Amino acid sequence: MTAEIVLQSVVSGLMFGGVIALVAVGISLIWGVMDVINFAYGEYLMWAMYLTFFLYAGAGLDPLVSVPVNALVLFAAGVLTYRLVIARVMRGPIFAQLLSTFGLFVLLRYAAWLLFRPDDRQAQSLVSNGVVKLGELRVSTGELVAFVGSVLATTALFWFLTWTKTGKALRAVAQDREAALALGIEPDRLYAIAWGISAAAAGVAGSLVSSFMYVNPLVGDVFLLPGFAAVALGGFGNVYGAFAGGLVIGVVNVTGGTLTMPKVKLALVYLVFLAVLFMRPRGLFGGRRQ
Amino acid sequence: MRGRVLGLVLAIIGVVAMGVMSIDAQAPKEVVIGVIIPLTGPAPGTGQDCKVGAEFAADMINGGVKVAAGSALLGAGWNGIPALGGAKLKLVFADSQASPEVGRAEAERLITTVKPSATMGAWHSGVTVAIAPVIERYRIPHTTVSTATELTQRGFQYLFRVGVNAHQGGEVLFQYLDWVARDGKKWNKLGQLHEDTAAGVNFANAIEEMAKARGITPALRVPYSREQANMDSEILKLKSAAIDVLVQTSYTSDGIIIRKTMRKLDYAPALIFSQGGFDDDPKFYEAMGDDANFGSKRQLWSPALSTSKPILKAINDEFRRRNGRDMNDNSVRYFTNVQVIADAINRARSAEPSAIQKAMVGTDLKAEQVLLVHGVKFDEKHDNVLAKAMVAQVLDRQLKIVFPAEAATAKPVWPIPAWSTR
Repeated sequence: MTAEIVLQSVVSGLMFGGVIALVAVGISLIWGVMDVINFAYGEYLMWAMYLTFFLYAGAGLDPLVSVPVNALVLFAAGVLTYRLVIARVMRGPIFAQLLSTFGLFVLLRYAAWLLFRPDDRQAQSLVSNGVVKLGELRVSTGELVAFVGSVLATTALFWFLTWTKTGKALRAVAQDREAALALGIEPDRLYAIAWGISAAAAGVAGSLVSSFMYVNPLVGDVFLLPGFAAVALGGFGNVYGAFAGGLVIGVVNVTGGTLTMPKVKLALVYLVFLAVLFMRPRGLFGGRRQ
Repeated sequence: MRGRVLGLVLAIIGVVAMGVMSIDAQAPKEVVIGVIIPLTGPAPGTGQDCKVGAEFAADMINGGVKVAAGSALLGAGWNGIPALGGAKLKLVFADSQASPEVGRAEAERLITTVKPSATMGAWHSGVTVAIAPVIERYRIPHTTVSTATELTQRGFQYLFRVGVNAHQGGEVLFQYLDWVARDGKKWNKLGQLHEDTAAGVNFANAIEEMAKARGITPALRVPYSREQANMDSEILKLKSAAIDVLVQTSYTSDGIIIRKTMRKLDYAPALIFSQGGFDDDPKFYEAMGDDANFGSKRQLWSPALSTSKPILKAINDEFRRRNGRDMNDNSVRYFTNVQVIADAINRARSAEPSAIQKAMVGTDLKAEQVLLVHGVKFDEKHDNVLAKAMVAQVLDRQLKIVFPAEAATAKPVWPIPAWSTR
């Protein structure tokens, strides 16, 4: 194993981790603001990939062009999910919330199965097949665009949370709901926005991964489980940490698989995840919530 | 009004009576054959090829393919099953979705609802492993082209393998390697990359066994699970081990990701050899374009063999006229499945599953009676003793026979050119 191969595996891992990171950010936002785990998150991503595919197959839209469409449609879907399902169970016990997102997961997955059948489908992107060389290091243009898109989307979200009034209000609700209420912040509207943004992140991720990954009704699992690991690694509810966690997961996956056996790469991801939780139960970047 | 109602009642009675009579009649009007294949899921293109191949054969046996008449093909010139008074073959399809669980449930549903005289399928070895006990329990003769060697090692009485098993399919690789070595072409390390269900694992085991028997030590084996978005570590592993003869078993979607990753990471071994799967699926060629070129696979059919079997070209032309594409290994193998079953029914002179099973044991079809490169004759385990393969290489996005020399339609490109030179 040469240093060049190892370095290549790290670069490949970062590229792959970029997408996991965006998924993790989406999951983390809801967890941070509302303490709700959205088990259906992978299914939002899957539906976003189908939307990308049908925009490609029907209207000839390149998966990258569909990013804003996906973001808007999924934002609306997120808000709708909150209004129709989540808002109603927020007053119930935590199990009601868990089961309702689990119910959503089953509904979304099998609705896709019924409507689209389990065929693998792939949108062809103009950028997916190119190769960018940096010396001996190589990345595909599809992955590079997905990575850059993921960083941009996460940066936009950071900016929103840090500098806008709504973003600040969201963080206030996340830190102390009662105090925020006392200050006249209306959590219900903010929760709806948080669900919208979280789903929009899945929408963007769905478009981005479509340039190199096929879609079928089970594809959500491919991204959801590493996404959850990244969320836990980064510190539950910490969107900044979730992004870093995603990158770590990507590198452990690819570099770990290359150094040992590729068959065990997912096991390595969860091993690292367990080790971190064992030593730092609040995650690598888990301190106070942001 | 009353007259009309009376007429309707009489008509219904008539129809019912005809139905009852036909059940009672000695020779059935049609014989139902169940076909379990992956019509949806990760390999719908493959399932579609199997479907049109089987339908084409059934149409020939039912008298609908005129170009076959006068040839030696089994079923050519027939107008239904001769020994059953011209009973027509009727195919009923079930979708395995490439899933062992779905395949097993569908096999059971098919057998209990449409009561087929025989069944075939399920293409994916992993699915065939799951449905074999079902067809054995219901005692339905079943033909398969799945390659997993273990299928015929469990003493099943009703399962018959029409195509090659993993060993027969792997044999041609070593013959080919010997042949290219005589031509002065060199290679150093044999490695394997395979999906981790029955087809991939069995073929990899067979290759390892055969390599060791020839004094070749396999250098690396990389199994992988199919559902994943990133295959970089798999390819980096092969690249860093400098594997230059790569044996690959993949289905379509994973095969596409693997080939793209090979290109990205600049990994081009001297030979990529597969047992079919991704490189038989038209979707692989659509997605990969010229990057599909230069891979090799074990091949069981070629219309170019028409110098020895003139009917192959005529049959392929007719198939292309109907379906807009050439026959491939999948359509040809399912064509042969139907022929084998039709032959057994005809010799059994019965549509009863147990009688068909007994007749099928005695199957003896010569190579000129089928489209495959080999004939069909079963040993005591119901493996086809005549099964053998050729080697085809993808050149100009088409499979061309490169070995054995007497069947070759192109010279092999060895080694596969580096990505940077394409």
